[in-house]
Amino acid sequence: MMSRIYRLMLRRLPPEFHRLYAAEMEEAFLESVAITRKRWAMLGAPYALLRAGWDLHRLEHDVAPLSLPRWRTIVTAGFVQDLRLGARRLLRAPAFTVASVATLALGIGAVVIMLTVVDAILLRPLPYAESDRLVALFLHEKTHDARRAPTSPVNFEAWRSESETLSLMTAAHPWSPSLTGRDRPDELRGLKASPSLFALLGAQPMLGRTFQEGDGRVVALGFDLWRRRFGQDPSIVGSTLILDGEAHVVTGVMPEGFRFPPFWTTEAEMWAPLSFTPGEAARHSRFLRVFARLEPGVSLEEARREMEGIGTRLEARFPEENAQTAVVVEPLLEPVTADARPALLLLLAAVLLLALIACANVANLQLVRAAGRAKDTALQTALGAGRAHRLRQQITESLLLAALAGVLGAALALWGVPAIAGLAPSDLPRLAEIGVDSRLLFYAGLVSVAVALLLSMVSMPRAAATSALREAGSRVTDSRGRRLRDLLVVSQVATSAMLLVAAGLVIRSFRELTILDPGFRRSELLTSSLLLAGSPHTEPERQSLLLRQVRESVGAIPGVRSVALINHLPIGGDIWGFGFVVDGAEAVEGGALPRASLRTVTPSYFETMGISLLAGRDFTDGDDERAARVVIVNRTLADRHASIESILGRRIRIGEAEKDDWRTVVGVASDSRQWDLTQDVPPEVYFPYAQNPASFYLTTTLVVASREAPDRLQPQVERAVWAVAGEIPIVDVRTMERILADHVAPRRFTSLLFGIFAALALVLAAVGLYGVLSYTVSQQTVEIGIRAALGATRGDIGKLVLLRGARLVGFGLLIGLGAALLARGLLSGLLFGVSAYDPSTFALVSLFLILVALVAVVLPARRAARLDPLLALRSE
Amino acid sequence: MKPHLFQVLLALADRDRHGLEIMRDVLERTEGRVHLWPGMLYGSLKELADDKLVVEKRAPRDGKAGGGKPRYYGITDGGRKALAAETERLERYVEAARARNLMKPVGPT
Repeated sequence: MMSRIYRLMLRRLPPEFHRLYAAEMEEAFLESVAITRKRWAMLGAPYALLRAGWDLHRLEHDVAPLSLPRWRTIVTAGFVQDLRLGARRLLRAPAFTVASVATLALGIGAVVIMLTVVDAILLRPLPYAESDRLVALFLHEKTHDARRAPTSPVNFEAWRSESETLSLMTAAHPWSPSLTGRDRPDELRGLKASPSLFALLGAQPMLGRTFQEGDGRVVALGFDLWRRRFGQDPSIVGSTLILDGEAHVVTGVMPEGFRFPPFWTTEAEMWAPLSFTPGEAARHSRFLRVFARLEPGVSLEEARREMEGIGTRLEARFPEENAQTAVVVEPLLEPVTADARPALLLLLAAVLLLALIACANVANLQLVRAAGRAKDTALQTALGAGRAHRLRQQITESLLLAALAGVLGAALALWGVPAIAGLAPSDLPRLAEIGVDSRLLFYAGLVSVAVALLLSMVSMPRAAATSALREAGSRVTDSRGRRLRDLLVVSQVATSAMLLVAAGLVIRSFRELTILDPGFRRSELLTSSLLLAGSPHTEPERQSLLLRQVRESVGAIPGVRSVALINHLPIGGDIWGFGFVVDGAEAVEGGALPRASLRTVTPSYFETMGISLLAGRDFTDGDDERAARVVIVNRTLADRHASIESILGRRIRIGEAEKDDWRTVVGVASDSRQWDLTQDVPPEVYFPYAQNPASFYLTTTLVVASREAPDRLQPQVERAVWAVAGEIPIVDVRTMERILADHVAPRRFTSLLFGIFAALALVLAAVGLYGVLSYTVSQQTVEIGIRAALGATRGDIGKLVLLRGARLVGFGLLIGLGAALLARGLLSGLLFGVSAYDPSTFALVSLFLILVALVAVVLPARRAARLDPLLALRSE
Repeated sequence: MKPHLFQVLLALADRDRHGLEIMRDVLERTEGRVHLWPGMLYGSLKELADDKLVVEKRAPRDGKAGGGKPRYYGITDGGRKALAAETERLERYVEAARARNLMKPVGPT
């Protein structure tokens, strides 16, 4: 008997070893049994069997593979064997393997996609030389907490000459000249910057040279512009472009991929030297963004301290111009990523949760499988497979699953990263830098290893705890495995609840935005920019005449309800602010003038946009250069400084202008959102075009209200404009609907991704719940049979299973919703018009989860209820 | 060197033996404290043979084991060197322990 068992055990040895030694080993074993019997009496034989099992196990892993060359033995022997065994086991359970790998691949893929995106946008250094030493300087305007406001030429010059911690200080402002004198007029996007720009960035041109101090009207082209507009013609260097009506010499072309600035006016693809003439009226107006490099050995903190001091001195020197301001020094990456960071990090958190759910699902499947194999395991244990052996099996299996899923996940990410980049709003910073490269594979590897570790950790305590005796018994439900499985389901439900709440809130915010009343018509509006620069129409008198003619000409198109022009369209356009004084109001608050945004409009602007006039009158053609100067203010300004009625007839002047340039308020318009739908409306002052305080504009925006589809009007509008204005460029033709859609695109992007991730999480959680409950039912077959035999009705049994499911879902929900409440701070930046506690979202998510859970629970419950008690009892 | 390899080499130091004899010798010498179970025993023999510290010998004419034809093993010169080196190493440990008064001194006191 003993020798037969031992012979069986010896079968596991490698054949060669077996052939050589089996016979002698059996003999030695029998003698060993005799020795243990002498010592342990009755217990001798079983002890000998166990001891021999252990002995053979050690032989299997330590000694037997010695037939391999030694170095390989040490490194791989056990592992390769484990891998082979693991692979065989996985192949034998294709359903489990496919389900696990698919689930994990989904989780890994999602994480890798988000990691790649986050890496490209938030983590990777900007593509400039020693970019971690680059800083951006702003003015913090404390009166309205604008932390990244531009500064004035006077300030810039003082900063540059006084700072010792910062070198190559460079100022810049956007520049959108019209290009004429070629086949078709066009508007180009560029940047005017101090010549030190290229030295600051360590950038070299691909062709020709950049520009330097003392260069006059020159321009360096970006690669994309050169390719798109000039057909990659190398002879462009040295030739002349007519920009804003003036000849500019092209000095060079920058290499592909060179972009600057990385934020604020990211579409710049052409650079020209910045020059301000001394004594210019705009010396104190703030329109410059400043960049610099930290001197070697200087820390950001030191630079900050120094600039703070310089700022304080400047405030003392120019109390009126610099009141209530401070200098802000930030690493250049900071303003680039600031807006995108909260949403990206939140999305990353969301996919991490998703991956956790996927892991929990697979861990659950593993546990279920392990429980199903309990008898095998018991047998293995009896035959000497130790705890360590089982652990290794588990870990190898997890590793194999994670590796397979990692490959699939990487493939998913290879497809998903470009897809996400394609979906992303065009103003996502560094969008062009998002791409597929070796980092993606690195992340896939990293995440897979993490997943393998996680899976091993979950299965480890169980694998270790399995005791031969307990598992060898019949289907006594092992409470420990069950508790672990329950825990996994609860955490899955909790995690999906969290994700769903977050997604729900973000999506609701997005909806709020899309139905928000911006204060003007959302539809039936066609807008386009007329580029007047370079044409004779920039002279003030001719400009107002032209605009009147354009209005008449376009207004005559059938279907057009009304026409107006404005300098900068709300939401879609730029915004200019200025300090102002209301006649008779308290002079100034805290030394700084109150600020308003400046809009210059033609008559019937309010009618065209659907903005109502609350008091007073609209501008008329009579409000021209010769007439009394008038303005219309918005409701916010009226409320803040007087009231809607009492502000009529009061006088307002622009803070920086001559002291007697007073303009009388003749109307109050209702508020409309300015440049961000989520921001409160600041004070706003409308000027008639003919009394334009900026004297003339290089571009103006045409707004056409029409009864029919506005986008179809475009050709007629162009013809009507050209009929009176010659071939001036008409660019950026968009409907107001399009403008608003573009404006909320980042939020749409975030909502969409959140929605996708939450949906995936929900599906995974439902699958997990279903898996665990149906397994429980199959485990409880006997118990159910006994209950049925003792008279429990089908309803009772169904209820039993349902209740168990309900308990798990209930716990999970409670924890998830609680966690969502605790994590509300993370979300608040992304929310608009919805509270982070929004009860209806919480209620809806709970309801939804319960419904999904119900589906997952009802099927196993029904199966349990239908069990035939006789069959159930016999299943043992 | 692993202790069980040392024991096997030691068992072969005075004469060639087959597996079961080695097991008995070790048991006897250690007063039953070291029991080389078959896996350990033959695994060690294979390892030592691979490392050329022992070789398989032709069975002596009078040599007899239980049944069949047992393999005899003998120690090689390399095996002796390894055994001597290991003994020396162990001796140094013992001396070091003795220097800390952990053991009874040897010889008459």
